[in-house]
Amino acid sequence: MTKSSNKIDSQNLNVDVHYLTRVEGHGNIVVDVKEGKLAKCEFQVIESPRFFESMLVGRSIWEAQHLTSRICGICACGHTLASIKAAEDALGVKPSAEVVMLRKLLLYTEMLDSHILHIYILVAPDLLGVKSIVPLIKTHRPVIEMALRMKRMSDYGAEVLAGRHIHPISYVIGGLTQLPSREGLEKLHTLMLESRKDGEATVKIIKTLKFPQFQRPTQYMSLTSDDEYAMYDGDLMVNGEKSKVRDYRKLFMESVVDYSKAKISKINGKSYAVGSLSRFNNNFNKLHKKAKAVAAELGLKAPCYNPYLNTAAQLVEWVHCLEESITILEKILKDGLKEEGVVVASWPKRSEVGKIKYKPNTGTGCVEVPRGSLFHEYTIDDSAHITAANCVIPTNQNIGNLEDDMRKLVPELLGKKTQEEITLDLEMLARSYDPCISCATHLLDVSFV
Amino acid sequence: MSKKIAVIGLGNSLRRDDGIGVIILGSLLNHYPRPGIDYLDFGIASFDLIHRLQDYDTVLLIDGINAKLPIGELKIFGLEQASFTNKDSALSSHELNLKDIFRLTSDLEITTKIYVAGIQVADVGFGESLSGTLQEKLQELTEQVDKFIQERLL
Repeated sequence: MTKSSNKIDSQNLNVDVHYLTRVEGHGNIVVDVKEGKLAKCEFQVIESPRFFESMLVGRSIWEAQHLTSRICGICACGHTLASIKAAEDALGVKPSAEVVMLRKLLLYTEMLDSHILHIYILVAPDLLGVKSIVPLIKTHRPVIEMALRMKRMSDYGAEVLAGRHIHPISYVIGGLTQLPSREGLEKLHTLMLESRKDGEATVKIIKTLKFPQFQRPTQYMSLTSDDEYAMYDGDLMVNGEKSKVRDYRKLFMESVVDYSKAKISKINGKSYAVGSLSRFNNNFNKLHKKAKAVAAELGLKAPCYNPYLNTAAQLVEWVHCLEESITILEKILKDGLKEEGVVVASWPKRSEVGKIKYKPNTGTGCVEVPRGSLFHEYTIDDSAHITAANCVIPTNQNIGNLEDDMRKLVPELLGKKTQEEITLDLEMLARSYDPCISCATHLLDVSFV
Repeated sequence: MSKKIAVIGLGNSLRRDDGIGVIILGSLLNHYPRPGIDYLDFGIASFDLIHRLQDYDTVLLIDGINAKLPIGELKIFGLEQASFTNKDSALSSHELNLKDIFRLTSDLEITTKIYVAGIQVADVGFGESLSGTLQEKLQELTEQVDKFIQERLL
């Protein structure tokens, strides 16, 4: 039977993907077309980060980054940094320029790590027509080994900078508890220089892969800055207009839907996108020149309205982050790091606990993490304990946009593709957003033989 | 050249018993640190475990399991002694899908000897404290794991 004879009619379709694989966490895709009308089109998230926010209430502000770093196994550094920024905003703490530089370096290493994971481990199998990377080990072994080598480099970066490769421990409010070792920084610099050739090879590979053709202009939100390709700091940019991070609640509205545990975010009543493609569209001019060259080689131009090409934008950002990291490392290795202004205690002095009264306040922190803009907001009382917390994760912000993409895509495919092909296109669309559905447990069911 | 050995704690310490691997790791470090062994908190890391496995001759992973055993029971086994199932078998990077990690380890011909110290859990809901039985048995579990390290790994 040929595929064409399997094409479904344009009147009825039922897609129920339960669970979507090769994403982080659990989500379902449900699409129902009845008599030519799209009756249902949902991306259902069945895990919720709200419990983490509840856990923060009543805790000291100095604990927040350690707790929130455990929300996610992929964006642990991003959560740590958003948390620290929110805490510093609430406390009125201003980190030194050196601390900010080290934070940017940490954020770049996480971006390198997550992007290469998504490109090779989660997306490439779709483009090569296999279920996972397992069969690719046999058919594309050198490529998989290269991907693992690239990941090892960025894993090592987090280990050197943050004290361990996951769940950072040395990055705290006001600075770091210890300086990264010179030996570690030198090794990281060497690994990054060596990674350039793997990056070039990756560009050549991605160039050969065919992404689905689909266009839907939307609103693109990201941090933006006059000084750099904004990831650690800046104002919020959407539709060419800037807003202050602390005004994020005025910018987008979150609402609850009955079919999902994740909230849906909207700006001006419409869905919007965050992540690599949004950053690329808003801040293309600020990219490193090598990253711009990669974009040109991949045929990626801003503005790009094809969400499937978020993966290509991730590769552009990978090159940008690598080059920016190398620049920072070379500056540090040349000038050195001074303990003064960087190294701080992770907790107020025991003698001061209970004696100092803090100004009750609300602080907001936002950083760009691999999947988009991540917000942490904490309200503290006069003992610096958290009385309210709000975390807005990028995946939640993208869900409304993903559903709108699906609503446009499904009618375009009806009558042209088989049920299996449409299902795969929808899965690939969801995966292109690199959804990071907040951590579930990872328990193994074991039986003994 | 001496054997390179790592003891790795796994789990989400914000999901009650799911964090038992990380908690036992901390307990080992506090009470029974042994020279020549790297004790690593891998929390909810996933794919990165592969790199780390490659760095060692022998690795003991400590983790919560669901094996229909009495709550709090410890079972230490090699990969060849168990079969693993997950609700969804395609590779997921976020949850630490150990089954897939083990599969990849084998396909990539990584020769590291891997043991799993699995503890039967009761409650993996949101929260930072262990369930009653696991909390009561924490010291005993730590001692059992250390005994295995001493007798079988060193």
